[in-house]
Amino acid sequence: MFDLGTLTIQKLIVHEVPEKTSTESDGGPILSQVESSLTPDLRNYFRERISESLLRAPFEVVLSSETSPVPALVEDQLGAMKNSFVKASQQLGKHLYSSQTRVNSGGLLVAMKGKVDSHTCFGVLKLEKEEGIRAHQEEVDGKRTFNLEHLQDLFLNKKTRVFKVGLFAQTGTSASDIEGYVSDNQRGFEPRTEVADFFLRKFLGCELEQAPEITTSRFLEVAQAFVNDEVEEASDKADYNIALHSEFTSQRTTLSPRGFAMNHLKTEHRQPFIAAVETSGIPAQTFDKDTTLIAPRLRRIEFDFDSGIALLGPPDALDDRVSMKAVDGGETKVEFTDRVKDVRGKR
Amino acid sequence: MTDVTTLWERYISEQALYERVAKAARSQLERELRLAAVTCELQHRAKDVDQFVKKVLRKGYTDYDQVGDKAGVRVIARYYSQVDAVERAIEGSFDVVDRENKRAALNYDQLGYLGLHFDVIVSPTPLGLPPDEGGLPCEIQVQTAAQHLWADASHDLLYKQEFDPPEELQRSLYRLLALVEIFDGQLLEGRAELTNLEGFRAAAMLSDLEAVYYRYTPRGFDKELSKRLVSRLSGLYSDAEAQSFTVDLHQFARANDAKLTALYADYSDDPRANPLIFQPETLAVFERLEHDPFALREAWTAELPVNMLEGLGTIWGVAV
Repeated sequence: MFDLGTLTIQKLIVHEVPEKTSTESDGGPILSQVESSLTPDLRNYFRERISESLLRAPFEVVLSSETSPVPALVEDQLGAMKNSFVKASQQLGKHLYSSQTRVNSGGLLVAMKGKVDSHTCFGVLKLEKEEGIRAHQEEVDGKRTFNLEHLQDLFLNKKTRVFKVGLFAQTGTSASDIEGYVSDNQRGFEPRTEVADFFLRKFLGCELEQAPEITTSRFLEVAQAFVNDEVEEASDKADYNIALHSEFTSQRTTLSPRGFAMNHLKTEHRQPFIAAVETSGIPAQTFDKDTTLIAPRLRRIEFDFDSGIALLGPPDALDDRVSMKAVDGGETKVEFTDRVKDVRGKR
Repeated sequence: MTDVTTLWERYISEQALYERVAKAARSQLERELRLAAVTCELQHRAKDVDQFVKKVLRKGYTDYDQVGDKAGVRVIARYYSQVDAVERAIEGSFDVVDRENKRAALNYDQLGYLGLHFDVIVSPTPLGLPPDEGGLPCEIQVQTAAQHLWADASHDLLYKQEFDPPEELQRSLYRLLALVEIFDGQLLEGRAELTNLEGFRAAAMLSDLEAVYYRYTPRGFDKELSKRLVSRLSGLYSDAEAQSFTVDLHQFARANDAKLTALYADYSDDPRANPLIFQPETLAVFERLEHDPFALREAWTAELPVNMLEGLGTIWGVAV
């Protein structure tokens, strides 16, 4: 991942890309002809919004499409520069408009150019319009009130609901060294639909760098290895394993190792856990979850003990009925109450 | 084999060069020690011509290079605990040809001169010599202030007399070395105890942070807010980390110098900049964000709104 603390914005341009309507006579995108003028606070504002979004939910991507013009535009802007920045951004605006359907909302397309990690970078942002109320305190007939102003053209604030960004930089000498990250805060809340995939695949022409099922499977291995090898308390091991399984079987389509650490691990385990995840090349912030390869392993959890006794069960049942407590001598006391259903010999 | 007169004449012609060698070595070492936040006194000299000749005569030298201390630097450390850092600075700055620990050469029942001596090579570039010419030698002595005081006084009393002082007098002067060792030891213990006191640790941290902060911006800061935050942040450092805080902070600043310089330049004219950027403790926040953002978040939220820490994390490029 780029060191987003080194991101600087040198140029920025904005185009309006309205939503498609049922008539063919709508005007199409409204394209700027010159770059926007940037003050220090605007420059920093965009820098922080881009960083914030990419820090929260970055997906590493590769430029792959031959049908989207974006990969070629990005390569050109980071390399040969046959097109000017303004012209390249206008082509992006036209492409966004033409690739949208009536399902996609209109908004602003922002293109930026700058530096990250000392490399030239090119960024694309899509912002959707929001409404808001601005309040000014004033006096009416000597009495205090608030004058309200309805704003219908807000595009970006610190709590913007819909904000998509793609940031690319060439970290080596050729186009094959282009690294890219995309953040889309609509991903993870909806199943993989046209809306969720539109920005990443259809517009930007990117694919995820690593297949989600592989990342998901590797994360399970790394997480379980961490819990078994680095966590000492048996009750912590049990809690963490159950939380892991709960995470994998939830309806969310993305998984956040950092979020998992924050929500389920004790403070002293969080940073070492994230370090283990990052060392294994797994994104610490978020990745698309796909449990295809690990589904059989999610049905039950097994605890094996030195004596040869094994405790096996679905995560929910283990969480509800089983308690584990450390006792003297490094052993663990396990208690659960249930009705005996069956007893049989087993190899 | 070269006779004394030839060596003498050669040194007369080269003494100015060795003065430059000593000065260059001192400057380089001063810079390195400043970056490591180690405060020591440094002295330098080229050997006097008469001292050069007397050493040649006394030792029976026949080769010019046998007089290894033609250029000399002396480092006088306040505390014995600084000696390791000085040694690292020397090894980081020069090619070290030889190292002698006078203390290690003594048996447990012996008292004698204590100090570290290094024979190093000073590169030709700072001397204005062609790069392919090879460096020139310099001797660096490292002593504590107490060791230096004894060495200076005893040199006058024992070696500069025209006769050999009586053994009893020599013994009484060597007994002072026991006091030197006790003095250095007590100072080290007292300093260790003092620096472990809660208030001292936070105050010392703030002083270090301030020194680095002013390298990047001349803007003033709210000292009361700093004291409050640093006091909270100091709990994030283990005892070992607190001991090495000064060095670690300077290393962090050095490793991120370009990033910090750009950051402070970018936000200097931004009226909506996160105000905490212009507080020195934010440097510790940035450092802890790299080290353990989870622990930082827990310590922070007990004192201040989490969105301010998240804002700093965004600026630095680390998720909180």
